[in-house]
Parts: sequence; structure tokens; C-alpha cells
Amino acid sequence: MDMDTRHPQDCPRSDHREVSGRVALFGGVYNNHIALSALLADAPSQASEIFCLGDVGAFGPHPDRSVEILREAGVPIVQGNYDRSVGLHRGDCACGYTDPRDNHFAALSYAYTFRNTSERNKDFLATLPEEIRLRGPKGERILLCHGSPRRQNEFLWESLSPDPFLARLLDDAQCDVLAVTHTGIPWKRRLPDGRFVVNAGAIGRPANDGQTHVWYAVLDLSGESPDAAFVPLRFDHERLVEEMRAERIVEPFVNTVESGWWTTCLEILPSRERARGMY
Amino acid sequence: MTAPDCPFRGLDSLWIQVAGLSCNLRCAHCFNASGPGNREMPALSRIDVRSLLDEAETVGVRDIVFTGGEPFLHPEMVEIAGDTLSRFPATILTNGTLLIGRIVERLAAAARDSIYSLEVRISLDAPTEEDNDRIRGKGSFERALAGAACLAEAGFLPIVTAVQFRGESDPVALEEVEILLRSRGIRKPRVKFLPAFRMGREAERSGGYGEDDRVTTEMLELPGAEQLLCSTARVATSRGVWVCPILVNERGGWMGGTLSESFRPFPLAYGACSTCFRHGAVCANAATAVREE
Ligand code: SF4
Ligand code: SF4
Repeated sequence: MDMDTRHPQDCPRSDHREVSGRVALFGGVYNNHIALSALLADAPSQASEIFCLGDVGAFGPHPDRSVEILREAGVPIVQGNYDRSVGLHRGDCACGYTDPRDNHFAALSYAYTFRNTSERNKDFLATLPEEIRLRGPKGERILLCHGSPRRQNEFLWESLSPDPFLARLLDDAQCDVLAVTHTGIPWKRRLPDGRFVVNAGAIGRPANDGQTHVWYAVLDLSGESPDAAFVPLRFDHERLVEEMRAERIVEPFVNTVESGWWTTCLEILPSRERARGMY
Repeated sequence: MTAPDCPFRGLDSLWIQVAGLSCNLRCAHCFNASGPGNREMPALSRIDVRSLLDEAETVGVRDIVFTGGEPFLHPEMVEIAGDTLSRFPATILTNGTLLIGRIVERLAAAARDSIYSLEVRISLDAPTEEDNDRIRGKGSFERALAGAACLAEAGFLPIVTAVQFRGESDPVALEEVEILLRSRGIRKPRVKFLPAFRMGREAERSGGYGEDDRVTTEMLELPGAEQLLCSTARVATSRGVWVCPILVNERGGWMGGTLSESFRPFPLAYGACSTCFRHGAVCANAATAVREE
């Protein structure tokens, strides 16, 4: 891929490429290059195509590794808020946290990622498209984006996304299938009119469920109407923990990888999602 | 100087002033001057709320926020919460002092039946009884904490909101309140600080806003300005629809008799808008972040 320093807005926003059968979707890599490699080994058995929904960097180790793996594999990537911030040399990750302690940890990992991402990879992240548009076998208009179609860092939580609201987002974005990430916890919903929303979760850290594996989604376009399955992805989390400690990444992030429970960013969780976690 | 317009970007949060301005407390900083016997705005009926929910569905609202006065003074608050939760996520802003026994059990049952979150926000203003009760009235500290503990026992994760008593986002103050809540058996304390709006009784207390406390056109162009509450929220009351919860009952804050009439830009001509501007982006980031009463 060539060096390209255009602003994302100047990039073609969509390719309307046709897809069918099963499509693997994942987001929130958060520098977890070990899970990313595991995903690239696993997903081809599940799906014919693979898309990344953004946030390549965050609190894991060695940010360049994940970017390089993705570039090499040629996986199409939607730009996340983290990618945009790193790519455009912004001062913070624009994650949208509200607690001062979350912001403290977020600032530390952002500084680490920024410092350890090469200029070449920053430029690459800066040019990622904010959305990818695809067409399904029945003409379904499929939109892949990071947070929501209207804001890169909007959180779409299951318990805070009523059907009429999702229908409005889909109407405004002119799509029938919407795929997002950004929250880190997977969910899906079929709207009464048959349209479909899936949040693919994150492969960078566990989904606050006490398990050390992570999740990605397989969108199934072969049936009567679109559906998605969530695939648990096991990876060598102990190796990730070792690398994080070697890089002196703050302990709360390491704990989450070890235990499967979120220890930070809890303030952004709505009560239903928070109630399921340990903290 | 003409005030810049805040564009309206579509209704995400519908606030419903379900109990009017009637409240069992009379806090020193209450910006809409709610209090016992305030009959300026009558309560809304369960049927009124249902038709608001119908409208909310049509326009694709994300969540419903119940406010007052004190919502739990409404005799049908639990039923209204149940009606709402079958269709939308909801937040109830309460002083917590009426949250005892049966009410909380029934509210928990309504919350369990829904796939959506019900957030209950309880106001506290200081981590000590003395400081809190000076602002919120004698006995309010203990009663609010008892309400929060009762909610936690029923499976809720109440959010305690405090008007900033020591500067912005002070982590020490945050931890103080968390320690207090843990000491009352609340295992996952959630605390949010809110700015004080110098209006209503707070204006008498702190002197209100000066001429220079205004949002300018240049300020509106800064990043984050699009997250002002008035760009995505409206407040429905028995006296029509208001631009935002802060300007309810303020002349000029009235947007019309119906929701659809209120879907238009609003000139940010108020001192309160400057407080919002400084804190608004921070508050509106989390999907559930809302200001108090
Ligand atoms: S701040 Fe809230 S609890 Fe206090 S008087 Fe006003 S409405 Fe009532
Ligand atoms: S007080 Fe705040 S929310 Fe209300 S109109 Fe002014 S800026 Fe908007």
C-alpha cells in the first residue's frame, strides 16, 4: 500500500462492493497483535471475507505490530477514533470517557501508542475511510463504521439502543445492515422491519465477562434475513500479559487481560452492562 | 451582541417533567426553584406520558429522562417507568429520599422485565451530613443514602450526582463519595459531578450570571460544541415543551405546545449557556450523562 496523506474526508467513502455468504467482522484490536494473528488464522474457516471496524491501537503492547499485520494481510479497515487521533497527531484518543481516572489511564496508553507508532503507520491510519459500504446478495445496503454512522466515537450499547433509535440511525445513513464496534461488548438486534444491527465487540480485550477469550462476529447473509454469530477467539493471553508488563503498561489494563473483567472505563457502561461485570 | 444559534440535530433524549416542579425538598441550589407546594407546573398523567412515548417512537428517540421536582412524588411513577422501559432506556433523576420498600421492589421488577437500562440518579451534594444538609435540608443526607442503599440491594446501580463542591472533576472528592457509598453497602458506586447553574435559588445564593457570561459565535465553532444538550434534547412539561432542563420555566426557554414545534435551533442567550458550554461536552459524552433536575 502506498503512502497516502490525504484527509479521510477526501477518501472514497464507499466501494459498494458485493459480498455474500459469511463475512467476518472485528474491531477494537487495541494493539493486541496476538489476538489479531489468532483471528487471521481462525476467520478464514468461518467466513469468505474479513473486515476490521477500527481502533487498531490502545492499551496493548507494540502498536506497530498490529498495524503491520493488518497492512500485510490487506484487511480493509474502517477508521476508529483512536486511529484518527494517532493518525492526525491529536492530543488525546477521543474515546469519550467522562471519569477523570479513566482519562488518566487513557492518556497514558494513548501516549504509549502514539510514541510507538511509526510515522509511516500514522499516515496509514490517517487515511483510513470512516465507513465502508457493501452490498449483500439481496441488495442489502451494508454499512460498516466504528462507533455509529453519525459519530466515530458514539457508543452503541445494547441496553441504550431502542429499536426506534436504531431505525432512525439506519434511515439517516441509508442502510439495511449496520455493523459497529467501539463499546467492546458484542450484541445484535433485528429490527421489526427486518433490518439488522450488529456490534462486533472487540478482539483487544475481554468483554467484561470473566473470560480470557475475546469475540468477533460473523455476519451471515445466506439466510432469509441477515443474522450474526459471535465467535469466541482464544489467544495466548499469558504472552500478552508478559509483553504488557515488559512494556510497563499500567496494571489495571493488564488485570483485565488476566481476569476478563474490566477494571477501567467502567463509568461509560450503562447499568445493565455494568451489572454483569465484577467491578 | 446577538446570541449564536445552537442547531437542533434531532431528538436523542426526551426529558419528561413528570412531577412538575413539586418537590419534598427545597435545595439551596435548585435551578428551577422546585419545592413543596410549587404548583406552577402540574404533574403529567400516565396517559400524557404514553402519548409522549408514542411521539418519541415516531422520531426515533434514544432515551427518556424523568425529572421534576421529585418524580417519586408522582403517584404512578413506577407504572410510568414500566410503560417506558418496554420501549426505551430510561433515567430517573431523584433526590432519593422517597425510595423505600415497596416502591423500589416494584421499580426493580419493571427494570428486570426490560432489555433496556434504567438508571436512577440520586443527588447528594457533599460527602458529609453537615455540608450536604446545609444545601439540601436537614435529614436529606441520611434519607438519600438510605434510598441509594435500598436501590443497590434491589439490584440497581444508582448513580450519585453531586453539584461540584470543590472545583472540576476532583478525583479526591470522587473517591470520598465512593468510600461513603461503599460504607453503606453499595458495592459498585457510581458518582458524577455536575456544574452548578447560577439560576433559580442558586442565583440568589451565588449572585447569578454577569453580562460577559455568554456563549459567543466563535465558541460555538469549537469542537465539542455540538454536544450541548439543547442540540439533541427537549423537555416536555404540562406547560408545553422547553429547550432544555436548565431553562425550564425561564422566559425564552419555551419552544411551543408540542414536541414537533420545538424541533428548531435555539439562540444561546443565557448565562447558564456559558456554564453548559464549559461543562456540557463532558456531561454529554457518556450516553447516560445528564444534568440534574
Ligand atoms: S434540586 Fe432537586 S431535590 Fe432539590 S429542590 Fe430542586 S428538584 Fe427538589
Ligand atoms: S442552558 Fe445549556 S442546554 Fe440549555 S440552551 Fe443553554 S446551552 Fe443549551
